[in-house]
Amino acid sequence: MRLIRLAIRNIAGHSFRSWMVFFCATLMASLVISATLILGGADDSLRLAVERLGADIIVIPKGLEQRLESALLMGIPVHGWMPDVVVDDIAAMPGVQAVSPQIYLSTLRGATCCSLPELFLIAYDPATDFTVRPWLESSIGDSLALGEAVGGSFVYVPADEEGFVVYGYPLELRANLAPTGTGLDQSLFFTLETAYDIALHSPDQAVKALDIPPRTISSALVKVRTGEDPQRIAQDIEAAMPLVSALETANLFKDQRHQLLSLMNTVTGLLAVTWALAVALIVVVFALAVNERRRQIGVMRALGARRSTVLTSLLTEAWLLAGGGGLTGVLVAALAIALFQRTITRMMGVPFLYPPLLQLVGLAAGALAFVLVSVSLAALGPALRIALQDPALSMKE
Amino acid sequence: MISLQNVSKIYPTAQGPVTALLNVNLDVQSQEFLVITGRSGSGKTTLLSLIAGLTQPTAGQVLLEGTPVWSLGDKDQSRLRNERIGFVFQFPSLIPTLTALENVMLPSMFGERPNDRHDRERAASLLDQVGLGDRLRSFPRQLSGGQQQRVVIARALMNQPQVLLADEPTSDLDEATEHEIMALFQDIHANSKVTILLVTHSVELGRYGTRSIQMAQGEIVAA
Repeated sequence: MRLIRLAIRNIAGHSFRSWMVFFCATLMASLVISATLILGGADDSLRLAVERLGADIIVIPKGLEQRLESALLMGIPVHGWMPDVVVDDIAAMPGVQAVSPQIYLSTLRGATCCSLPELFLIAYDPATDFTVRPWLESSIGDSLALGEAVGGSFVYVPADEEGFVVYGYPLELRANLAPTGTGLDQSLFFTLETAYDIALHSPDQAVKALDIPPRTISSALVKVRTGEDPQRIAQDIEAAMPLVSALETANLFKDQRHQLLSLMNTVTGLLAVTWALAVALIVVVFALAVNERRRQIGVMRALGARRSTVLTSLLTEAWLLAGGGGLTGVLVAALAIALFQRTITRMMGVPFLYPPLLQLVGLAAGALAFVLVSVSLAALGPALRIALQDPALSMKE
Repeated sequence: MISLQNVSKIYPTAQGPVTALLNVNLDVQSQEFLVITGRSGSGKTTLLSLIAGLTQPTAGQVLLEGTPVWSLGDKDQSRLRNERIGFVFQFPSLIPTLTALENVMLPSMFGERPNDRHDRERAASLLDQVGLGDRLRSFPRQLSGGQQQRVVIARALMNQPQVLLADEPTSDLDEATEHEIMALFQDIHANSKVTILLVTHSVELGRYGTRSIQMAQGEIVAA
């Protein structure tokens, strides 16, 4: 017979006490994994969205700021136009290294001429582009030709259709980009040439024509020279062009970041309080258990158990309960978050990126280790006290 | 075999120090069956605890085959208890979450080389010897007081000890069962080479041993 069987029998024989510790471990693990997955994932999403933009400044028509953030974060299409001359004006400004225009469009809702409804479409200029090209080179090895597109990670060709259709225009989906957890995952990218071709053919092919006002763009992405201050250049752009807003990409999603920070503080506080309460409860439960089993432990010592054996025996019970409860907490939380990802995103107003499996396993191991250490610490005091006690005293009433 | 030299034990309590044993000298020979009688509080249980190294003497020395028990560290002391001493307690000492068989196997679990199959066979054989061959899988709550005490005796013999220490093993039993248990101790003594020290408040039970001594107020008053 092994010590572990004794521990399992003791756990099974004191079900209420065991369930209490198991529940505390489950609670701790689920809170840790939820907080890490949701808040860490949201932080990752915001960072990746900025990284994917690949520009230091994004220039858009005034008044479009909030809707642009919604488009980037939640994939809600945004429309706005400004004269394309803006690109040349910005390019001529000191400190600017590159400028590239983009046009924002969207597919129609409830129209058979579009494979996916209300899909955010981003058309870029291959001649000046410095934001889309790096991903294309890493994913398909070359640039997009007329009629080709790349999609975010959630963009797919519907199962019952042969190809991808936008305004009745067949597009070849060349590749899907890595997920960011943001609205960019539900966006489709193609060249300006393709956008104009779609618009040209749409009156004949689509339920409703795609209208791109001549000599207009939706945004201009700006890259500043090394050592230049993006904030100063953004101010210069706004001063020179009163009808546009120049947003530093580093400052994008300010409201969401504030919201996330305050949520993180609340959750951290809640976690600390829950942890302290759970640990206190486990200390009490183990102190009661040890007190109730003083005689049994005295008998074990009389039969030849060393102090370390008694300690290991009690800690094995703690580890089994912490491991079982922790694993349950991790699985339940991870599953619930995966199932209710959209609902949580809607409630928070900030998307979050569900981590890849390997990272998830790492997080789960971290949460389990946290619970194991917490429960062990809580159980150690009572276990040490009884292990070090004179066995004859332990056996007295 | 066992030697107590000027052994005293004083317990510090909130009401002041309580003397449980005072300058006790006792020699027990190998294969003796010594019955120690005395009233409650006479120091009998403390005497057994000192011999087993379960509590430290305030003064004096306890020698087991010439080795001072309290010169040993926790590891060696635990090994000594595990390999050379068997215990029968006054109170219900079976682990309630383990079966009779598992309770008997318990000492081997704390030993140097537990061997599950061998231990299981030996435990079953011991339970058979004490008349519980058909109750291997019973939990303590499913056994009577006398049956529980038989399991405890089987457990005490599990590691083939040289010394069997029995502290009031019949205190909670009816008269018939008391004599059955005492007869069992006699059988064990007759059939194995074990030294038995049995503590009881009943002077009458002294007749089961090969020698009897009496204790009162922490001292040996009649040998």
